[in-house]
Amino acid sequence: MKNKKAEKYLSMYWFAILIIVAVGISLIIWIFYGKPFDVRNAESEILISKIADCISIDNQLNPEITNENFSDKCHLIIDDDYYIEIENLGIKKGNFNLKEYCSIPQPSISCVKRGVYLSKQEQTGWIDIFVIIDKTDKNA
Amino acid sequence: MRKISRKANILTENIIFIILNLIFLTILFLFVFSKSGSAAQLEEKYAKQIALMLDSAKPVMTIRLNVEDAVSKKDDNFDMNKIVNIQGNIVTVKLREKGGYSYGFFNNLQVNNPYFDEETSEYVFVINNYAGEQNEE
Repeated sequence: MKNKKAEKYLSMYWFAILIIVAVGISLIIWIFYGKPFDVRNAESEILISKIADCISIDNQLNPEITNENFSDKCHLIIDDDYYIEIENLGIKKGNFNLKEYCSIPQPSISCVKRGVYLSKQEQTGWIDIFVIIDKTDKNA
Repeated sequence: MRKISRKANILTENIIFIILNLIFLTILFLFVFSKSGSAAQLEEKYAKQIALMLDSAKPVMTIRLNVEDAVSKKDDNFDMNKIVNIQGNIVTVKLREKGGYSYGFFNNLQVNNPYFDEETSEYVFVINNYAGEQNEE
């Protein structure tokens, strides 16, 4: 009689269900919270907006900005985790090797390109700002 | 007499079953809450939030960040004014003796020592100028 009761309350089947549910939920939480927050897209947008502000004065291209003085004039610290390219102005700063990773489908790095409409010496046109941020170990 | 005994038996079974379920669910919820609001999680959240804030900042600016969650999660012997540390372009948030999370920012700012405002539970960041530039008097 006692064995029967024990079987009812603490049967292997009951424990198996408990364990499966517990392991399942723990696994989901571990996967969800184990990954770091990916803020690189937000960071790219801020960087692009900062660059756009820096290279323009009243919707005109700032003629003082060159590849050499870009980091200083725009007050940017560009280390190996970043690559910035503004083709129309010939500005290329940071880790050039990151560029090849952007051609891979679903790259682990953040590659963002935005256009700014500016005028330069009575000409107007789009200026493409291309920003790559690596920081994979902290974001993915 | 036998009927009453069987009914009582069924009721006990159900009560035990419900209690076991409640215990199981409580443990699961505690686990979820402990994971979602852990000190390590908060360190990462605040470090990245501060880095992004500083990235979009311009001189002259004062930024106030509410850190109520950090106050409750930090180690007891920790000084609130030492939770956030900015060295060069790296922000480090440390809520535990053995821990801490660092994240870099690209904006070349000169950030004064950030401090904790106890009245509002906010961290205050004062940005006077870009690094390497003299403050205007």
